[in-house]
Amino acid sequence: MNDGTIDWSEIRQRLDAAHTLIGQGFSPGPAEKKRVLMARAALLSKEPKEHDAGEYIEVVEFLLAQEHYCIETHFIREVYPLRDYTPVPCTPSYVLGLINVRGQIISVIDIKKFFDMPEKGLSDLNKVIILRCEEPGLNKAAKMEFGILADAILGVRNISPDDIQPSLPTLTGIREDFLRGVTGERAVILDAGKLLADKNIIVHEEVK
Amino acid sequence: MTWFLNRTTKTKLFLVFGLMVFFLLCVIAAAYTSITAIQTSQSDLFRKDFLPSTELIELRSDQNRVRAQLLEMMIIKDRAKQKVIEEDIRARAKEVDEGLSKISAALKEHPLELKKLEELITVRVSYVKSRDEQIALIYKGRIDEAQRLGTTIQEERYNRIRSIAKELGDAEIAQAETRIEQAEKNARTLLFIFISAGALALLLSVGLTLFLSRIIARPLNELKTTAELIAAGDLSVTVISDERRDEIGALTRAFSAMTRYLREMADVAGQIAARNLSVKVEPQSGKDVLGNAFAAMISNLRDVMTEIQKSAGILASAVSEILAMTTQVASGMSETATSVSETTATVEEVKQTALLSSEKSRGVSENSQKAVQVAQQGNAAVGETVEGINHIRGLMESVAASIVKLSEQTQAIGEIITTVNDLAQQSNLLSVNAAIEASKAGEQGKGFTVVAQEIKSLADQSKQATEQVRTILSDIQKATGAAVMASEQVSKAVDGGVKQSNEAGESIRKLWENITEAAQTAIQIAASSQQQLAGMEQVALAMENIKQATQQNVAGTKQAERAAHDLNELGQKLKEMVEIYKV
Repeated sequence: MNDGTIDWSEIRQRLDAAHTLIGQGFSPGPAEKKRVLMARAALLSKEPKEHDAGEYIEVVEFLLAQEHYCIETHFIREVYPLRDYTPVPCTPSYVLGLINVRGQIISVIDIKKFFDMPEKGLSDLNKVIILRCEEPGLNKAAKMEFGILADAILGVRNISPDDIQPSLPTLTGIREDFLRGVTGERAVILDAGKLLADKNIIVHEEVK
Repeated sequence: MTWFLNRTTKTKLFLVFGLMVFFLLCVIAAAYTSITAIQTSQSDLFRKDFLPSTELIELRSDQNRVRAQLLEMMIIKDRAKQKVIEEDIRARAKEVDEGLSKISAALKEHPLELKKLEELITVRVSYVKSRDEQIALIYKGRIDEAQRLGTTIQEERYNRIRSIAKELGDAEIAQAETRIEQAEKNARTLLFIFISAGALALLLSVGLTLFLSRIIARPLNELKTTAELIAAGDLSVTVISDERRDEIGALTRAFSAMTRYLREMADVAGQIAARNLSVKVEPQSGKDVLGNAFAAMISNLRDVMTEIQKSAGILASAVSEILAMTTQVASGMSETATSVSETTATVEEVKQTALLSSEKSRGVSENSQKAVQVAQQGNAAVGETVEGINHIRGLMESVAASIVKLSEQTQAIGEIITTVNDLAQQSNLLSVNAAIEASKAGEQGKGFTVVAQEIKSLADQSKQATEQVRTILSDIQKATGAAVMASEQVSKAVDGGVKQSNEAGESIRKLWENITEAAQTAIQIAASSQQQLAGMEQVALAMENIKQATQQNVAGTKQAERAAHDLNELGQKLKEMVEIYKV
């Protein structure tokens, strides 16, 4: 087009190619298939990393105000997208409200407020991580379920306990109490057990 | 006399007829008195004269009868009859008494007759006394004595009465006769008076009528004669206007004024007739038709005459110019004659040239026919071009529509991508939950953990794929926008092309028209030059004729020169004639 004349035959060829592609339902051709498979094979053929067997902590990594946080999976019942929630009056500001998860009413804590972190605002992309304490060793009183609000779920990771470093001196205040450590990738590991056992979370107020 | 003349006609008539009526009244009064006098005299005649005389006659007859009845009584012996007669005698005597008293009353104014009547009455008294004695004697039967008495003294008395009565009657009749005579005399006198008064009245009325006629009719008649003379156009008459102050006098003065006015007007007309237009007319008033008309006529005539005089002057000068001109024309004509012979030779040369140009123009005509055909082809080609460009425009429009549709469909793809992205997110969440569940399952969940890992990687891949698709879609969007703009520009360019090709078509059409016209003109020129050639031959012929005509013209011009000379003299004469008028 730049030289002022149009190579109509080339255009027609390109259009035909696109047409055939659409006709095939975008299924890759044999060459393409082979290329993809080869790439996967190369990936699989790599030597897996050497690590200590069994000594892994499985955590769910999530985002809170652009910071990476982790919670151990055995404290987590499930993750759930935040859809409709019901605000509860006469509660502290960190109590977002109640949600209905398949018929079960679960209270949701806005952990950013609890930790005095900057607000980002709610969206459809917000997720709720439902915590549960089922360990027999723990206090009966701590055996409870509630959800905490996360900006995004990043996934499940295995973290070696050796990688866990003691907490940063910058983390102070209430957050310090619930910390287990910081990973090498600067992800903060929260102690969900403490969180579940914390008395502050239990709301007991009466309205006269 | 002058006083009477100064009165109005009505007053005059009143006065004259009043005088006549006065006379008539006098006559009627005289007649009335005379008739009354005659009436009284008639009555006197009857009452004083005829009545006593008839009474006297009756008295005489009654006396006779009494005497006769007395004699009858003497004869008749029957007492009853005698009685009847006696009564009759007494009735008669009574009548006689009454008659006597009437007569005495009538004769009261005549003492002589009255004396005689008294004597008669005395005689009659004695007679009546004796008669009564007689009647008594008759009744006594002493008829002889009665007869004796009757024939003697009584007869004497009877005669005496008769004579006196007769005397008296005669005297009365004589008196009546004198009276009648007197009455006749009176009547005659009266008749004379009537006749003389009537004659006088007649004479007076005739005189007055004549007088009136003299003072009213005669002046009118004179005026009538004058008016007839004026009507006949004779204005030399003079109307003597006296000092009378009545209508006649006024009429006369008005007539005099009218004649004067007419004379003035006639004088003016005479002046005009004598060619003097400088005369002045002063109209009496705004209603003076004649005066105004004269004034207007003189003014108009003056204008006209001035114009005519000017014109005559101009005519005279023009005619002299014409004379000069004709002289020049005459000399020019002879020059023309020589020129015409030269022209004839030239025309022959021109004819040759026309022959040449006719051939050339035929060639031009053929060439221009070819040019017309070429122009027609060009016109058709331009029409096709316009059609082709219009077709291109239609195609471009459909291309633009397709691109817009494509753009809309990319939007639909975007929506689908959003859904896919949502699905990827949910898959991600699902993988997390699967991993949690797998970790809960402990050793048995290890394999499931791998599955969850795969699900997560798939979700990530699909998320990446959607991101790529989104980028591509935005590229497509940009490309379609550019394509739409480009096609819009193309469309505009095509519009410009259409316009230009239309203009080109129009130009070629005009060119074609011009060429067609030129071709037709060339044909016409060819025809014209053919005609020109023919015409030139005719011109050559005509030039020969002109030559002859020019020679005739030379002779004609000489005549015209003479005529112009005559005309000049005529103009001079006219000028002199017109100059006589004084304006």
